[in-house]
Amino acid sequence: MHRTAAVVEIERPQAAQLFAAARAAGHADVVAPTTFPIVVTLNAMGDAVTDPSVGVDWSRVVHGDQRFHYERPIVAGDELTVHTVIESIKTLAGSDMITLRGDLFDAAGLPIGSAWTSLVQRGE
Amino acid sequence: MTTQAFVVGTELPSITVHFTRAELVRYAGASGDLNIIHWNERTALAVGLPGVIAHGMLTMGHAIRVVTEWLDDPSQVVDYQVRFTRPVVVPDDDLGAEVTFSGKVSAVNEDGSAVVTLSAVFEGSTVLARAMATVKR
Repeated sequence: MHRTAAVVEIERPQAAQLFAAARAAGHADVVAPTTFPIVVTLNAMGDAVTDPSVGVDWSRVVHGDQRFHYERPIVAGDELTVHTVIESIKTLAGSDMITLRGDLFDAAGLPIGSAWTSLVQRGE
Repeated sequence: MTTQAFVVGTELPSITVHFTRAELVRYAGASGDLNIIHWNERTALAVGLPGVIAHGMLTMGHAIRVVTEWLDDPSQVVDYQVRFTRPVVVPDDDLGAEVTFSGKVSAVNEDGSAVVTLSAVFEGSTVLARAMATVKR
């Protein structure tokens, strides 16, 4: 299992208005976009799959499937920790497919949600 | 939070986006996905792709805007998944690749949450399959 930590920082072009809207909706700060976790989970997954013994050729890798599930929204200021698990590795029609799950936790260790990523390395 | 109940069959306003090479560079920097196939045509063609292709996550990120711009609060999206079925080829010009995103409420669950099925069309073909978001009331 790989653990990667990151602190969420979100650029705020109209900071005051966005912050006010987020607070009005009951959030502690501005809410991250739905697909934001990929920034931390893909990096964590990269650590898990770029072991030289695995031999990934990234120019032949395409994204197959992606899913995000939330227990609670991510807001600016959150400190995230990712636990990455390799769920499966399959070979289909000459292509290798790896499915990874990144479980996200906040600074208190409580679950935020999970991201599932399937990557396909196409055959030569 | 939305106070009105979700209704099966509701069509969400569609969004049309032009993906340019410049946007791919920006997304590479923002996301940390620096894969060469998203900016180097020579390599993309050498590995058998039709050209420089958009990051799947860029397509996925734009598609959910159909839902988040329709909802009162983007945090109502509690689950979102897609399958990337066709690449979005981004030409080396100023117009870029035109992708149109749309969505429809396909189911309402017992707890009042809804499933929105999304579609992304590029050059007349869908580029996402099984694209679904679950949104809570």
